[in-house]
Amino acid sequence: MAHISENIPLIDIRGVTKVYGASGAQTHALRGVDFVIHPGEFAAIIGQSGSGKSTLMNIIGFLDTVTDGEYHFAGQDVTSFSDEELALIRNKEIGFVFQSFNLLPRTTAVDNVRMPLAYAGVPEIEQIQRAKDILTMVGLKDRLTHMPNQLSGGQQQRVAIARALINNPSLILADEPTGNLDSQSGKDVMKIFDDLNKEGHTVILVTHEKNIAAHSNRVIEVLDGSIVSDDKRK
Amino acid sequence: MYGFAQSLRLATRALRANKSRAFLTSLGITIGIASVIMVVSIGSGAQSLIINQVKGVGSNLIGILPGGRMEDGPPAAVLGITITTLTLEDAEALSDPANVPNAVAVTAYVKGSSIFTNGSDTMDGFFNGVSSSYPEVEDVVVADGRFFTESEANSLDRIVVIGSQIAEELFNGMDPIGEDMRIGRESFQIIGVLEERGTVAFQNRDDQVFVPVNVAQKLLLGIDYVSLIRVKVDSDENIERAQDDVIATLRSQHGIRVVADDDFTAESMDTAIEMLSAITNVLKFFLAAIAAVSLLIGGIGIMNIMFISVTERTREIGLRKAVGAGKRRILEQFLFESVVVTLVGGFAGIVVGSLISVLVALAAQKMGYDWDLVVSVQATFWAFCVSCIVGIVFGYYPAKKAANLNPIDALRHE
Repeated sequence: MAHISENIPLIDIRGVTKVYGASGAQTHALRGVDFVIHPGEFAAIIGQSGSGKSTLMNIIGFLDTVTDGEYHFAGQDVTSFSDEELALIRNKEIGFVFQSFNLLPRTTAVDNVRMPLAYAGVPEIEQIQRAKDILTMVGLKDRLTHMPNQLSGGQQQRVAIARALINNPSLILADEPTGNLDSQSGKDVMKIFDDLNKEGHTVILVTHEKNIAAHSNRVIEVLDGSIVSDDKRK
Repeated sequence: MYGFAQSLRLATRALRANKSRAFLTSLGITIGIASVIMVVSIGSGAQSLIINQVKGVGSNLIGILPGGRMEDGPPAAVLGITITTLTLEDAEALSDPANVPNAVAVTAYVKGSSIFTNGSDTMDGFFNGVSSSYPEVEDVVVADGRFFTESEANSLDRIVVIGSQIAEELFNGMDPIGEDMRIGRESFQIIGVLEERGTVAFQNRDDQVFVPVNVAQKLLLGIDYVSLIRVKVDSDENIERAQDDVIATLRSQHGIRVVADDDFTAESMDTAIEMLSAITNVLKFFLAAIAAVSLLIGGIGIMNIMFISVTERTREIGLRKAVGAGKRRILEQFLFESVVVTLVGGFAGIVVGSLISVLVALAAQKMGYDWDLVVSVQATFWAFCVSCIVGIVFGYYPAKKAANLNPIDALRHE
């Protein structure tokens, strides 16, 4: 669907606002945000809690819709996409990594990782093979049939990363990916993001930690629903 | 179609991940379906038992009870009220071929309980006063000796024909023919022993004795009426005509001109069986309705569990949406989960229900009841259909609720 090219921005957001709640008790989570992200970038969105950075990430990842403004993804206007179209674009183009891993309990690593492929209509044998390959890639070759509760936090987050990568998305979105990890596991996980970016993947991180943001080559700071700084370092 | 198969696979995987919850949910349906099948089968078995018992009295019979019937209700005599309008003369009139040409045998009945004695052995039992044609009316075979004749009956001879159990218990294997026994304080000579008959119309017929009806009336009971007359008709197709003849004869005997004044009730055995079938059918459906309620409760159980499941798995639903599941796929998955649970539960219910039905029938047959094993294919089919519908109907609402969740709200659910 989306044709990824260096010339067309992957993400092009203009004048996006997000208002929660009914009139009278409204919260303005985003007050007119513009920014562009090109393929291959490694960007960090930082800000305090309540700044609107998570809302911004949810809108980028099609988990939430805008109140006003325009969103072009790989040149396509997605503002008016239907529920089923958004589901398809999340499946094909976005890989999510969450702070709390969000793995299915009582479900093996392989079954967790191959879930997006089931919704993509990939045959089951291929699903399992690809899940095994990608788990090997993130260093969990000997944890294929483990349940989440048999894995450490760092291992669980690597399973989640494998799940995010399995459908070859054009964008990896990570929301505080190291927030629930000890520092060593956090470093291991960040190394994976670094490597993925070097291989050409577009990565957007949401974090409030400066040292995590330092892995990126662009830091976008959000405050009270607006972008207050956009610092490209490369 | 491919997505369908995927959703089914996802549903079964989710169920396998929550085996105990899936099991408990399907248990409700299993119990519901099993009880429907069981109750329908036991109802049919009990019905067959009742009807077979009544049929055991004999076919081609017209029974005449004293007292008219009220509206369409049962004859008053059935309700335990003693009515004295039927007499031995009525039975004699009915045996006259000029009155009822299709009658082949007629017997009157009176009945009482007493103590039977032979020497020092005693036992309680029922004595029957019957006419000499009693064996012909009820198709009874005299195993040993003979039944009394019409002239013996008329001459008030103190003679008795006894049931097989009495022969065993009072005479301990000795030949009772020609011996004396006492009914109450009166002494009778035994002239015959009846073949073993077992239980007919819910009465053990083997611990009874039979004496001429007028002897029973005068000597044992001190009454001048009879409690029942039975007329055996030559063939099935003549029953209706014979019934009309019986009614006409009795009306002229009793001097009745208006139908409403009838002081007797004449019914054929077929009518009695039809009435019994109608009553037992109502009972059967009533029982099935109660069982159906348990099925409904099973369905509501499924809805409850599915609602809990949806709430409990809100984050899972959010995650599935985040990785690309559309509304339809979520709806399908949860709907399939409830349908699979109900189908498995329904199938187990059919097996359990049929098994219990077979066991009940075998136990009843072993205890000597004339009980037919009926596992209704129709009831099974409907129970299965209902379980599918229950799964879809009660699964749909929670599934719809899950499908309509906003992905980010679902993911943030605590």
